[in-house]
Amino acid sequence: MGPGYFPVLIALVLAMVGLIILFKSLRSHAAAIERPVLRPLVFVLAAIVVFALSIERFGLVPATIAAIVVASPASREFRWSETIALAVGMAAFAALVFIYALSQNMPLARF
Amino acid sequence: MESMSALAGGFSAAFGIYNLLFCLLGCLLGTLIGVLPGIGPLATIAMLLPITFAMDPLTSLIMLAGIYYGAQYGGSTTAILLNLPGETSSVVTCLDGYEMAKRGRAGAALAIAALSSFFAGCVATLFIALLAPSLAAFSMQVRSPEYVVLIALGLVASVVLSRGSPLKAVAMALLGLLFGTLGTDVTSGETRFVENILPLYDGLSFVALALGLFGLAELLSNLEHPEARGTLVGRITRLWPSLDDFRQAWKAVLRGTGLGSVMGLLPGSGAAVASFTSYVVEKRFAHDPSRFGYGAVEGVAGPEAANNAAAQTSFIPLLMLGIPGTATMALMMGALMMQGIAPGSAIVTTNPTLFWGLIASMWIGNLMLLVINLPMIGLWVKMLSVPYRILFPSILLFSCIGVYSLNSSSFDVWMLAVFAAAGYALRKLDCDAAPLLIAFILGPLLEEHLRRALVISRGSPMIFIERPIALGLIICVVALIGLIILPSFRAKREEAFHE
Repeated sequence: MGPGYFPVLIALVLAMVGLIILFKSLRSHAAAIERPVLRPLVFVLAAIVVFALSIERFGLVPATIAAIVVASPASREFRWSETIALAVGMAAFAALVFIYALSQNMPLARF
Repeated sequence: MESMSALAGGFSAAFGIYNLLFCLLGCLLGTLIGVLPGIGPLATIAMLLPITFAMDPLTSLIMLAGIYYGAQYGGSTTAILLNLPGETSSVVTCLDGYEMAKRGRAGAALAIAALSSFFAGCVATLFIALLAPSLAAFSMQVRSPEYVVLIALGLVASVVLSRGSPLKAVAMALLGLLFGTLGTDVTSGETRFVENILPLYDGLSFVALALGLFGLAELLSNLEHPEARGTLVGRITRLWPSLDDFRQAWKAVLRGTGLGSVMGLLPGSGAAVASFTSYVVEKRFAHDPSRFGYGAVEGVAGPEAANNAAAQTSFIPLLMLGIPGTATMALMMGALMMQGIAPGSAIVTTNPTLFWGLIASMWIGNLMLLVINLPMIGLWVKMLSVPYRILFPSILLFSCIGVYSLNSSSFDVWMLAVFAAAGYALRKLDCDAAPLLIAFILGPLLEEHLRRALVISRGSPMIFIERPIALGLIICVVALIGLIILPSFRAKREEAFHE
């Protein structure tokens, strides 16, 4: 019973369950999978990636502004004026809460 | 009466100024996110987990628990006033609560909802206090073989009570177990599935997993649909319900409290299932079931009592046995483990202040919620005017900061993106992610105890049937599995989720 025992056991059962689901769905006329909507997916994922890339290199304030600006167009109702106000407000709030109040270990801003 | 003095000790701990403050904070936050649709207690707790890391374990649990039951209160407010259930557990409150509001009795509905919740909260606190000693005695008997079977029971229950196809739920649970094995193997010190990716040596970040699969996947599907906006009915004129309301409601409250307290104990259920069940029961018991759906007081009182009682008693399986019944409880377990406290080793005996302090804080929190909610309803409803296009970037941002700050690791933020996409795909494929999260938390424990049990028995699986408690639990597992396979139960289950 080495380190591989448990994962192999689970993986085998999982593969079996997967096969059963596959065969069941081939035999029956199941409902079609709902089509994904790309707009929210693209902007939201991009915002997370932008945050991941900028938090260490540039710090919390730039990362916050970048993430909010990139995320906002995910909604069809977004407006630039609101987004900019939100980005600035959130940057100030995040800096106050996470760096000053909770003294989390992250840079405020660095270039 | 030993537990009563222990409860008193819990009260003195919970009345500490810090604990009171964070209890209030948790209740306020919980009410807020309960009111807002599109963000639930699960995502909020996941976002706040990194912050609680620096707090005292009791204080952090008090705050997180406050968020959980506070959300039950907040959810019913919008359900009654706007026909918008803030949380799944208040979906049934819409049925009769909104009807009452349409008839100009919004105030009475809100007061009945708050008072039944408060009553249920008080009874559930007592219920836990009375139950704790015998459960503690039981949990002393739990050794590795029993623990293996208990975890299996928890996993099977999470499959039974998940939405959609049971087969897919099984696959989700297995996937969760597999994700849990990633990283360094505790027994041998060897690494698994990590290649040369250093941040994976400690395993996947469970905050990233929970926030991605639940919080952000929810956010993504919210963005697909145009914003749901309820219409506010009239002004709230009279808050106090009439004597007639009380006469109609009190039995429903009692039944709902009893039902909720018991259902919260069962692994896999929780507040939402309890409130649904209570509504069905009330309809059955009513002299005139046709009133239901047209503003029946019992239809508000019963489910509201049930969801609050269940929210509280669902802490029992977690704290006593270390088996989280719902995805939210799995997060609470994560919070405890981050603090280095292993639930399941009978916290009641090893850390009584933590256990009783939390229970006492729930009662205090319920009292606070009563005070916060009734006079401040207008304020909470105003919160709803914040549009989702402002709300979602903020939720997204706090998720990123939360995940990053836990380990100061931008790799974890990348994982958040991966899990958000995965969670979105799972939603499209009709797979409920709750069994995955529960299995992810329980997986490493299951493996450890399974291997330990088999070492004790020198590889013989007979150890699981030789021990009476383990055998009894195995029978429960088999019975549950039998239930899923049974066609008549499957039909019932689908019907229940349909309602």
